[in-house]
Amino acid sequence: MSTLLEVTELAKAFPLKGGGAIHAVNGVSFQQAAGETIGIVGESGCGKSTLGRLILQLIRPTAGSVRFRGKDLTLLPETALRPMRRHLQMIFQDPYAALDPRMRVGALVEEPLAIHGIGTRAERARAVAELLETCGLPAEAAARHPHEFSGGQRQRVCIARALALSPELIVADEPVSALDVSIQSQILNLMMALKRDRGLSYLFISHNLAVVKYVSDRLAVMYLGRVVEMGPAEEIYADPRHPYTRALIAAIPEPDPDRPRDHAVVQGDLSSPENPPPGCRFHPRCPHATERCRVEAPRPVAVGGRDRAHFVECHLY
Amino acid sequence: MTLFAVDALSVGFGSARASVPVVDAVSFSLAKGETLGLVGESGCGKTVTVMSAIRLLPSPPAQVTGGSVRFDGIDLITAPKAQLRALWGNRIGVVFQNPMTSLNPTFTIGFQLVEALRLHRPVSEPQAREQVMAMLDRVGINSPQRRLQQYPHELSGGLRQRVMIAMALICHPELLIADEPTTALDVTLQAQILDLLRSLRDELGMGILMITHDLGVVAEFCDRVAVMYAGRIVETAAVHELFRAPRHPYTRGLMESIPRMDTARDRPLATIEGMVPAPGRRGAGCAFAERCTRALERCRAEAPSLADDAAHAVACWNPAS
Repeated sequence: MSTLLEVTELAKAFPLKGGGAIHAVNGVSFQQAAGETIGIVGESGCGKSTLGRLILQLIRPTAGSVRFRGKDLTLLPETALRPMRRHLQMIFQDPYAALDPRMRVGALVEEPLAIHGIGTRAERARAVAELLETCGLPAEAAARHPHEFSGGQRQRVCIARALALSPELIVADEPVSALDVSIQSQILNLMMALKRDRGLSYLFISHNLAVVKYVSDRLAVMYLGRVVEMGPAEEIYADPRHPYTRALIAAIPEPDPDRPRDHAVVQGDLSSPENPPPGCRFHPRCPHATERCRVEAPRPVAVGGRDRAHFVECHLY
Repeated sequence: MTLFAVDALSVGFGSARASVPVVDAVSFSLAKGETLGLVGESGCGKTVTVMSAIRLLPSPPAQVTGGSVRFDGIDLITAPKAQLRALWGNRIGVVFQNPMTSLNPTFTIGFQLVEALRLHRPVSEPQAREQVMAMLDRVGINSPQRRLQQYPHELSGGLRQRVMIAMALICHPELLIADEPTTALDVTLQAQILDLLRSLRDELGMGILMITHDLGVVAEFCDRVAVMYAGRIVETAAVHELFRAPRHPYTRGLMESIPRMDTARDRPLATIEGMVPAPGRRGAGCAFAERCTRALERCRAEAPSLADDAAHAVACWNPAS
């Protein structure tokens, strides 16, 4: 499989008033193959959304590179970036906020095509009709406004809009978190079908490990700006190595009252990304922390998987 | 012993002449020390049911159009405001979903907690501060002395939610109403808060009414469950029974559509097609009939009612067995 995306030592620090900075993303590296779905999980404040935006260059990184099909996007000026954007699209969490309430759905889905100067008006109208159908919306939807639709249907409009330019990579940031469970599965099924039919790659960002695992080939677990564990989704679920990944999996309430119940494994809150703890960032909450964890930041260690694809940043290994 | 009983409660929104029914003849009861989960998707009426039952919804626009609610023998629907004020925050504690909008941003945490306690208990200011600090410690807040001086915006979401819980528990209520108490929290924090509520329930013997959309939370936390759809309870049972053998097609659909950690990736997820009908457009039949794969002729014509007093009750003409 060809490499679609190569992220190397990516970092973003947001400066604070009066000095200091929030290190939202701090040295993240991974590669994504064409047609592959990578899930990014972690709790609020871990930097997963910032990572998604950095990859699309919606915000510019402080350090590191993002190569898409070999081209380093971080070096491109805004004008050179624009034609690249048709290959990389985004789906946002809140379909209520992501659509201009004054535009009709047809115009919303057509807008990316018009901006990139693709097709004549008639051709674009045909493309819009096809996109709506692909995303499970009726043809009449084109003439209506976003407020006439439910959350699930609005997310379908967002997906149609993201698909308009036939992108290769879609960054989906919590695409189903705002939806009711009976609607979530409809949207997940649509996204999976689109991936199959069009060979799309997703970077799927979510706090919901069960959802991420269902859609992803590989999983990256983030904590305070770093990927602390990454590997094949099945393997991470079956054999999580990092104490944080274990805590995360144990903490998910499964809809099964007979499941043996673990008590909360980790205590306390996420440390501040302004003053991340020295050594391993997880050590203040880690049940296995030793002296070494307090002073020395762990390096990635391969812990198995085909092609040593499963790695973890932890001194236990 | 029954602590809290809601009987055929109906709630409408709007004026007396043009009221849109939102909650339709909902009944349930809760015993001391018991935890009942009220589950359903957004707009199903779970919060409206509970908040109007304890008279916390402003009227108008919300109007109780029928039914009764009893808390320890007191009829809450007819109780005068003064009597309700003596119950709220005292014998009935409430954890609201959004701690950011439920705490007053202009007062310190300490001021708000001390006020909540002294409103109902004849204790001096220093005594109250002592009890408040002990409660903050119980809900897992470190260095409570320092937290008392802080304003809500200075706290993280997890801490704010724990302050809300401390405020709801400060008078040791007999009934705790928890409206999505962990929905805004990350899973590791959620696990900590559920642990905490569990131990406080066992220690204080509270009845807990948990409003949630999360079947995972229900499975881990509740003794009994009532599933709501479009303003009605469609199924109710003990938690093990409901998860082992759900009978209402809606309950089944919900359970099957959630991706779990062991869901196979090569099959599409089960879905419930269509959408929840809007209030006022629910028609004469079963509100779920339009989306139901088991719907019969009768389902569209006549709404099924929930069997009374059965251990596992379902409102369906054609339930799964």
